[in-house]
Amino acid sequence: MYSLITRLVQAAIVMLCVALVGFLVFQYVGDPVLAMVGQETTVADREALREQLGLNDPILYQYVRYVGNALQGDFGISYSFNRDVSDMIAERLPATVELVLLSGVLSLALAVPAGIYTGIHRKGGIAQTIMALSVIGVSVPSFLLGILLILVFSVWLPWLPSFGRGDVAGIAGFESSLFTLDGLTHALMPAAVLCLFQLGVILRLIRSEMLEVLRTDYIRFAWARGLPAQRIYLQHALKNTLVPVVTAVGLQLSSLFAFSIITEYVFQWPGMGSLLLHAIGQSDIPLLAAYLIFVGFVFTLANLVVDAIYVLIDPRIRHGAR
Amino acid sequence: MHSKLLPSAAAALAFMLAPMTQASAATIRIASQGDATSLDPHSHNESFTNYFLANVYEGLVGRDRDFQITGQLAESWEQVDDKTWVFKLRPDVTFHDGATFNAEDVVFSFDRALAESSNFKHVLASVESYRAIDDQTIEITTKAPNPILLNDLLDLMILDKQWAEANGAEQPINLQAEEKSFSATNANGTGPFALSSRAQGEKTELVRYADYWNDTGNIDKVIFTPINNASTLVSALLSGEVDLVMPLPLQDIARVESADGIKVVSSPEARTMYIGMDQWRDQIIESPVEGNPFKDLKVRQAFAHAIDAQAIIDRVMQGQATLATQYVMDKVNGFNPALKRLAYDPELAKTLLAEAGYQDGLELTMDCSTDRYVNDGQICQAAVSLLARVGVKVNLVAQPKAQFFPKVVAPEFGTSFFLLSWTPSTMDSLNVFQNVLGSRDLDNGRGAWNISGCSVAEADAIVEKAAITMDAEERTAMLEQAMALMVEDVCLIPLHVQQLVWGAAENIDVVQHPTFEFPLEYYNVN
Repeated sequence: MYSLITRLVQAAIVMLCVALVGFLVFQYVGDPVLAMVGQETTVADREALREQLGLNDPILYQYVRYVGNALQGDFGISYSFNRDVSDMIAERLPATVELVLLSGVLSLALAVPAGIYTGIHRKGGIAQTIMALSVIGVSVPSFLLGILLILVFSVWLPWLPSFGRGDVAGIAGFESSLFTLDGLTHALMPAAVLCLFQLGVILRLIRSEMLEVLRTDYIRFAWARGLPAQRIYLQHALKNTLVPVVTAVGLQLSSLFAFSIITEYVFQWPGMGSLLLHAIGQSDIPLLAAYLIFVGFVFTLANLVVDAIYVLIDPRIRHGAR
Repeated sequence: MHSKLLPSAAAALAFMLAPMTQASAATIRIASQGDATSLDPHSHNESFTNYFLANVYEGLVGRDRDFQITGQLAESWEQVDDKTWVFKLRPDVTFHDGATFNAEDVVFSFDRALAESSNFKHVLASVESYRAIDDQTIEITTKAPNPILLNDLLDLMILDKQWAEANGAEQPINLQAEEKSFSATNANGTGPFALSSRAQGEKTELVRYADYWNDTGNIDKVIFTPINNASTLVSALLSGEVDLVMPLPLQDIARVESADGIKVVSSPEARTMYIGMDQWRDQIIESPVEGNPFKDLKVRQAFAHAIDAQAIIDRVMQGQATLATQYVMDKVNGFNPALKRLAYDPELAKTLLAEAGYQDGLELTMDCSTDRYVNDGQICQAAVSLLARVGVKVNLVAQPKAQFFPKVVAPEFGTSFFLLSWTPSTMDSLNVFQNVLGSRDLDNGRGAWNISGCSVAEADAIVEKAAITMDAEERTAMLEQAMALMVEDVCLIPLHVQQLVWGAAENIDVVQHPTFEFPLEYYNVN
């Protein structure tokens, strides 16, 4: 309980710092007033608007005012959309979450078995091929891969839609495009692109951890005891690789939020990433600030969850804590 | 979650009840690089938003298929005297929610456009007063004779007073206000299409308004999707997922032309690109040169002779532009057909520079945006290398528009050499003189975009007279004369008029207007 409170306080500090850095940077993202007005608006009207929005105040004062409002749940009104920022984020969040979840599940479902396999059959042809492909996964930029997939699967072979989010359906109070066939076909390519980097990283991590563990004495003893191979690999070896893997997965999954910006841009996925790009283009400070705070929140939350999982999978931490 | 889709019940109902006059419901799927930022017609004066909304809302006057000004909500008008106009409103017009349109709505919308938070105050800048004479008649009095009142009114959209009041939208969205911004996400106009659903940045659907007062093409449904990434936009067209994309990136023209079932549609846009030179500072900025060489006409002429605009069109613009002879394109009133460009002649440029005392060359800094106009960054690069051939060393500062505009606009005008362009929204060159070419007089709203700071007193005087001359022919002649004076003075170096380049499915009849309007009521799906 005590550690949970410290964690929450830490999370709050992280979010405040992120917002502060944000406000210091906002001075250089351009002039929001110019992005809002038309070419015929007079200089006097522009100045009046700037004054009205409080953009002439010192940046630290703007920051404090923003945090004060945010603490009361008021994240302001987007300059470029004229709408409540919290409404806009609530509207865009499900799209990003479903994309991140789908690609997270995809990458884990593929990376864990492939990592174990390549760890066991180091020299095999299939293992070598998987390793070669994983290099592509970590090294090819995702926008290039996205455009390539669109070219192949939408233009040459008209199988998958090239842009947007599909139909949305609700199950048990949750609305998601993953519940419809149309939605899934729309989500497949972006999720595949988004998962590829994580897939490569996690796969390679599991493989090297497996190699390490398989060399240890207790595995040799296990072989000597004549235990079945499956049990040695999955129960004795895999379990002991999990601590670093869980750390990596936790961080990787939260960074999926960040990576999703590019993927959302390429596939016109209506999530938070494309909202952020718009906000940068329009110097939309309330929207930018809210986005940054939110992403800070996601990262701290992910770390919190990872710490909790440690306790579950590693008896040493569990018993040490007692 | 239900705020994602905002079905306008009335519009949906109207669609369901619409008699099926066509054999099949024609749907057009449009994708563009941006989305309308707000659905409030008085909130954002941004061209895409304005012209998207022009399919839903209408003004007193509008543009017909051939780009001529025609009555929309005003059926007819007459000038009682030089300053007084009387507009007869069209009877039996209804808003999409079924409410009747009348003079009260016009007065309300004018008031609204003049509100503090409106971005359309300029359209009524010449108007002294307006009032409803009766339910179907509006009288407008201008401060001085205004021959282009109709052009000014083109952008002023009319809302329903009752609808706005019932939904707390009496004023354009005020960013400080606490109330919900209903009119940013809902629309209720009199136009040919009604909003049926709106998910910002994702998808917006319009349906044909069955009770529209005029004939329309055969389009019943419009599905509009923003696609920000240019290659995804083109892919969506190539794969047949959308029927119309705008704009089509220049490098993809060949690809679209060679594909089956799709075509490239292009026509000149009212945007003239130009290079500006600081003529007002005594010492130019960001340059080691002493004083201001641009004050010398010979230097300005030399620069104009040094820049090969045709080469820029051929290489950078891939042929999708036409040479500009002056600061407006030929469809703008006041275009002077007699004017010629200063020819590309680097030798003459060198001679002129030597005569001005710069035989050893010059060094300057050029400011340029990279994401505002078609290939703007590359245009500047080309200009820089062309100037290098005549001994002018230019340090190019190519920057995103978010950095460029705050640097160069009034009141600082923080550049001495730059690339910019202008579209006169009224399609009358008076707008260009008011904003770009007229001597700076910010208090009276003149020359706010005259970043060059050029000033030709004789032209200013002619334009001032033209602004209140009601005789159309006489007025046009005056504007042409003023344009000739500005060109002679090399206030700016005109480069080219860029083209609107769109990609469309073969079976779609597209109407392009030079102002980027896309009046869907004139479109047809075959």
